[in-house]
Amino acid sequence: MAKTILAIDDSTSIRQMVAFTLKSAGYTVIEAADGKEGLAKASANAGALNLVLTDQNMPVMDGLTLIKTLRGLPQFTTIPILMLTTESSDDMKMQGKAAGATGWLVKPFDPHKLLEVVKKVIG
Amino acid sequence: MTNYTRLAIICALLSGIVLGASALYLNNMFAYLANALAFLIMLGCVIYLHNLAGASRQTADHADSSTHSGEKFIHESSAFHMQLGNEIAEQLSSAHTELGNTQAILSDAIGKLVSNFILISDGVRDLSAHTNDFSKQIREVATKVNASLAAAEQSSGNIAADDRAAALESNQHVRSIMAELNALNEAVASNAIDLNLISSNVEQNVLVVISTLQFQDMSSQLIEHARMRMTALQEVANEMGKGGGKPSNHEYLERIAAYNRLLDKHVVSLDKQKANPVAQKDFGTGDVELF
Repeated sequence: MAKTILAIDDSTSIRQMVAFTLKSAGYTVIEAADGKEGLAKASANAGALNLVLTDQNMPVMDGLTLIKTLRGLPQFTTIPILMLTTESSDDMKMQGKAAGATGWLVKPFDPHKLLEVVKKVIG
Repeated sequence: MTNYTRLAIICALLSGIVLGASALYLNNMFAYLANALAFLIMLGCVIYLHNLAGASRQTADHADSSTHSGEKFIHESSAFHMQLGNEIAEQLSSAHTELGNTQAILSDAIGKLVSNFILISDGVRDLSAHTNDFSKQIREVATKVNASLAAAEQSSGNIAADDRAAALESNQHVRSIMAELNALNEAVASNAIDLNLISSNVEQNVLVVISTLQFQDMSSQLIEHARMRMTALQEVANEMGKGGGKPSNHEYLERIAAYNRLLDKHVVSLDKQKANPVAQKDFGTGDVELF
């Protein structure tokens, strides 16, 4: 059975590119346009979800807030969460780590590298 | 000449007359000299007072003139600030709108491009998969036909004893078909290699397109970042544009302080909201770090 990934990004083109890359490798992808929508879709698919891939700078709810909120819910304490963002400062990475992120990928992403990391994290 | 100076001169003249009269009345040389000396001292005082009054008047005139030029300067500065504020606000508004339009056009174009790209890419992938299937089927059929022909050649060898001429003709026919089949097989193999090469090139181009399209996202973030700051500046410029009239020195300084406070408020607010989100220095792909 294909593993399910929740891809959250406010940029439609990035979201489509991520979904395209992951679907090409056989993953099922659920898309969300901001942290709040991501949180709703994560809750709705809690049992089936294998990985959350989120941007940082988004309207309504940013990536770090989403991670903190998800980590506060019992069903998401162990699910891998990867940040995929243009932010590359050490300070932001430390904040991500403290919030509970599993890894940090800086845009622009290389599809091969993305798949490699996803495979490493969820197989 | 001031009234005080006039009064002092009159007093000096009167005191001179009184002193002269007293000297004549006393008819004494020392009294003459003492009175003359007292008159000269009084005259000196009058001249000093006159000079002092003149200097004071000049200072007062100068102060009056300075006050007028100071007010003029404040009014001119205030008018200039107002004009500058209006011009900056107008230019910022125009640039803000243009940036917004550019962003919308860019997003729309990229959106269409991405959709088309995904459609084409999926199409190429499906086509490649179908073509591979067809190639496989053709090769399977060719192998079967080849086996059948080999069997036919075997059979024609068996009947050679009965009808040598017919067998020879049949054998040649079979060989000809086999040669054509081999040629077809080679063509299919060659096409499969070409197809794999095209597929590999497409995949490579897909990677390039995926990386390139991500820069649109970064451009959008930078544009949004610039627009946010422009909005703040526009508000300050609008406030400057509202000033005007003929403010007093105090009112003018208050206005300048208010502009500074507004600017500071925006700077603090913007710094709290978001630092520059894009720090990429080249077109290479970003780092990956697992915690």
